[in-house]
Formats: sequence, C-alpha cells, structure tokens
Amino acid sequence: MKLNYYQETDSLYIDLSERPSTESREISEGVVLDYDADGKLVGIDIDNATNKVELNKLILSKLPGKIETAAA
Amino acid sequence: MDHYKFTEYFEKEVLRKRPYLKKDWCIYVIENAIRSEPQEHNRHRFWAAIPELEGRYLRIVTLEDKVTIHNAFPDRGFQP
Repeated sequence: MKLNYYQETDSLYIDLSERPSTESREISEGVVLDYDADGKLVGIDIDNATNKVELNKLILSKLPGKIETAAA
Repeated sequence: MDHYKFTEYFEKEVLRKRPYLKKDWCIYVIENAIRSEPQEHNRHRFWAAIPELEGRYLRIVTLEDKVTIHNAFPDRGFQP
C-alpha cells in the first residue's frame, strides 16, 4: 500500500495495490474509488485532501510487512 | 489545444492508475462538454461521452483556471 500526497494540489492517492483500475466510482465530492477488472478495490483518489483526511499524523499499527518512508 | 496543462497528480497518479485514459480525450471533453460546473471550491468539472469508452461519460476535473487538467474518470453516476 502506498500513500502519495501532492501538496501543490492537495491531492492524495491511496494505492491499495499496484493493479490498474478499470472502473471508477465517486462516492462523495472529490473522493473516487478505483476498482480492477475483477471488481476489487485497488485505490482511493482524494482531492482537496486536507479537508477530508487527517494528514498531520499517520499511525501504522502491527502491519505484517516491511514499512518504508520516503521524504518528498 | 496547446494551452492545456496537466497537474503532476494527473501525470503520476491518474494516468498510472487508469492507464486506458488518453490526454486527447480530456481535452475533447473540455471542448465538447455537454455540461460543466464548479466542483468543491477550487475545481471545475466537465462531462462528455467518449465513443472509445463505449459512449460512457468521462468526467474531467480541472483546477480553477479550466485549462489545467487534474483528474479524469468514467462517471457512471452522471445523468445527462
């Protein structure tokens, strides 16, 4: 899973998997879900993210995989 | 057509995740929109049907300037 934030436009993409999207659905203003060809959720597209997401803190709890951070 | 721009988010996230999208479609939608209106407080959205998408409506979201393309997705919920 990857969280990619773009400060210039206040946009956040939460990549749940690396699979490409074939179908998208807006669930609320500025929030679009991406699904793959099997109908699985593969990403969340959030515009004007600071109004919708608490971006000042990220807590990762008991994730089984490797955690990497990348400073922009 | 040359005056349109694309945000970094569009180039790196939207096109990566929705690789079937074409920039030409985005520009076509803006120039041939059957409806356009403000979105949130700082975006603008446009809709037009794309024949290559089996006639589905593509929504294009631009910044306030209406020439910087920021997002695009087939909008199933759109009622013409």
